[in-house]
Amino acid sequence: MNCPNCGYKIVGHRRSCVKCGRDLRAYESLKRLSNKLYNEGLAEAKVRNLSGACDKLKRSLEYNKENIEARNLLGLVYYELGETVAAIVEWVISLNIVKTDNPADDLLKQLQGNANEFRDVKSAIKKYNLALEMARKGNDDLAIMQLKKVVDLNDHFVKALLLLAVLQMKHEEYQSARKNLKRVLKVDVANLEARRYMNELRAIAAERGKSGQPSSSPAKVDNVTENEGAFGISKGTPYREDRPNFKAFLFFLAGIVLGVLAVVFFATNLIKAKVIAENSEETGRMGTQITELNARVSSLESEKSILESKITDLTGELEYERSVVEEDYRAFLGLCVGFDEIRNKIIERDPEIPVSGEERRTVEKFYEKLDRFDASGIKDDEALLAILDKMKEYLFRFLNPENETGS
Amino acid sequence: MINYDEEIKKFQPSLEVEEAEETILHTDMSDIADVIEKLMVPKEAKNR
Repeated sequence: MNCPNCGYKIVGHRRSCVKCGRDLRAYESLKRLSNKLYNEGLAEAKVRNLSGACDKLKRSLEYNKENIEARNLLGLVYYELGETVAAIVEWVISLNIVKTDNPADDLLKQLQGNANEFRDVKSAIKKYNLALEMARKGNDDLAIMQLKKVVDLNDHFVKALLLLAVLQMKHEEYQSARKNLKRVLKVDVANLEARRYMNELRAIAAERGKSGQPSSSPAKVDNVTENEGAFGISKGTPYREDRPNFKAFLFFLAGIVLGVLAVVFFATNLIKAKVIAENSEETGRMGTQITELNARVSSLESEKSILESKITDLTGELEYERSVVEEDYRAFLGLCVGFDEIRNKIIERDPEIPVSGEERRTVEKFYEKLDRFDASGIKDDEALLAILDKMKEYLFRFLNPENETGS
Repeated sequence: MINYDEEIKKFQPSLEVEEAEETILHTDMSDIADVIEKLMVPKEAKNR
């Protein structure tokens, strides 16, 4: 602080000036008051009560114009409210008071650095002033059009939003007015004009409700403002009974049904694929088996042909054997017939007729024939063999009677 | 009931860039300390 009398720079807190002895207690009190107001302004700015912050900071500067913290913060508040040039003014003054280590320098450089934004800000301010002029002259429609462009360029421009809201209310565009007032309260939660206009909208809604007129937009305003406490801070949503949300329930059911269908679809496909795979495997196995069986069949067929030829051979042999045995039996029968003739005609005829030499030779030939007979064909027939022996013995006795009498 | 025309009249134009220099130069930079100073000087002069 500089001494108000001699301008000597006073460091720290002093009751009187070191140079001129001026009593400084009053000035120290003013400084303290200024700082106190600055702190209050800072607290309000932090909760976006920009109108309140602006007021406190201005009062802070009234107590101490050299409070650069308050001045810089005031500039920031103006910037946030859309009053960019007012912000520049405060920062420039702040730099004039304290030239070095002043945050205002950085703030100005940032603003100048962003040329596009600065151009938009300048354009918005010009259009706003033009719109205000039109509104004062009664050209509300043109003013509204201009103000809409202004808020597009700078959506924080509180004055423009408020003027637009007033014009819209004048033309009963309550819905749009409400929207713009809400935007103001978002930037500056305790803006008095905005709250006053909101109250007006609520009153209009109430009036319309009483008269039975459709109250679309004001009724909504009513709901909004009732939930807002002081400085627009929400009191919290009112208690409501939980109603069943049928839409959500339907979506939930639909989701379950779709899920089940998806599962069934995929499961079916999976099973089909599995069955096909198994069938393919089975088919492959059966194919292999068929091949093996075919091979076996071929080998069996070849064996069969071999066996058939064997059978043919054996049948031939058997036939032959049969034919041989039959021939032997015929031969034996022939012998039996011959024996029977010889016995009847020669041996056992009338004993008074003597046996001639020729007849004796016939018997002897027959006996030799019997003796030379190959009995292998009838070897298994013991009866026949016995007959053959008896025939041979009979003829032997006939031919050798002395053996009979001699024994 | 709000008188919209009266409300519109309350609105002030916003400071334009061209006006910034003029505003800075003509800003009233006196504070309460200056007022006290003005009040105290005549008093001190009287005391002398």
